[in-house]
Amino acid sequence: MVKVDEFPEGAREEFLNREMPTFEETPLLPGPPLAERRVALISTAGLHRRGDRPFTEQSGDFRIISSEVADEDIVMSHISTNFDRLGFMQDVDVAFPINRLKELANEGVIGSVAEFHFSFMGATPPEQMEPGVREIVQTLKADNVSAVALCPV
Amino acid sequence: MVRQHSEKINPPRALYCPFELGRPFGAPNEPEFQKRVLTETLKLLERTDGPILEDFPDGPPGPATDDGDIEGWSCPVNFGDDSQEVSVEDDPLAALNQEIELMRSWYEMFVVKNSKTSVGISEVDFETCIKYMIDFIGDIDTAPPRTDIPRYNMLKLATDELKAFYFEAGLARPGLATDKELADWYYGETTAGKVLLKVNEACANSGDEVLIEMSDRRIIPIHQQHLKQQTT
Repeated sequence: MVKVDEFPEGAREEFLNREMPTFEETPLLPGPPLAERRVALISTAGLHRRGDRPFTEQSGDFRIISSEVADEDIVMSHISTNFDRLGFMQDVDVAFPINRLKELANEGVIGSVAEFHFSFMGATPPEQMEPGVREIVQTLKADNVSAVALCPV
Repeated sequence: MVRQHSEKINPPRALYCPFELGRPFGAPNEPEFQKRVLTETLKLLERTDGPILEDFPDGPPGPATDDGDIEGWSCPVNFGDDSQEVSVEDDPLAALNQEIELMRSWYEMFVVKNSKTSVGISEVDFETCIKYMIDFIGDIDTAPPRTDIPRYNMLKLATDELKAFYFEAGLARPGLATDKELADWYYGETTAGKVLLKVNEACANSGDEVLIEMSDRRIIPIHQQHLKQQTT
């Protein structure tokens, strides 16, 4: 099991007490009903299309994953060794639930699935991701996306 | 995934899921459970009474894997009567390749069953990755097979290739194995594990700041750090 509670002492405390970004405001905006929303996924699992550039240490950049990429062509180049990869090796949806999202659209739970989804590599200071996030927002707006599920790993 | 982190960041809406790190939607090949987690997450969008930090009420489906009900999982590597085991000290490349060949049929079964593999992520063929790691142990300045990415990145991807091959082979064996069980076997019992410890040692002694940082936890995970102490 890869649970924080089971990290060796010292490593556990360091991980739990890690400095986190704080925000002055927590904007909680209303929006259309879920059944009318167009949803995108943003992962921090270091995912990308097979053949795309692997993630590097401290990189705040992101990779684009189209809704149409086949499961077997979504790979993980996250730099960390400290989380379970067995689940992802067997089933992409355990970290990146693109097939579940499509099912929710077919069932009418959500409106539709965005054309593009995104992945960062989480072992990066969050402020380094900000330029990438701003770029993603433009793409999401152009794709009329009205909801994003952030999927940490 | 880490409640304490969400409490500090205090996002508008968050669902805390008490699953293993690496499995934010619970468990592989459990589509109904995954869909439930995703739906519960998205439903938070309909609320405006936050900041919201909800707790997902259930653990992941499947047999319990942390209460000792799977004892002694192992994936022994047997060298038949006709095959002489090569020592990793005498010839690390030959020793590793010998072990890889013994694992190959299990690995291929995983690929057939799952129609996918994490091997190949480096875009460098597997044999070249193996040889690069071995050469790196002898000389950290060995030319990496890819020059369009930093050296440490090529080295990390090569270690990921090896790990993916062994873990996928391990998953194909009968009996459920957890990440920790497979890691105990891989890092602690295999020739591949011994080679990785040597790669890690070469990084630690390299004098190169980035490689030294790699040797902290990028090659040997947190829960296998005791193995490093055994080699020093």
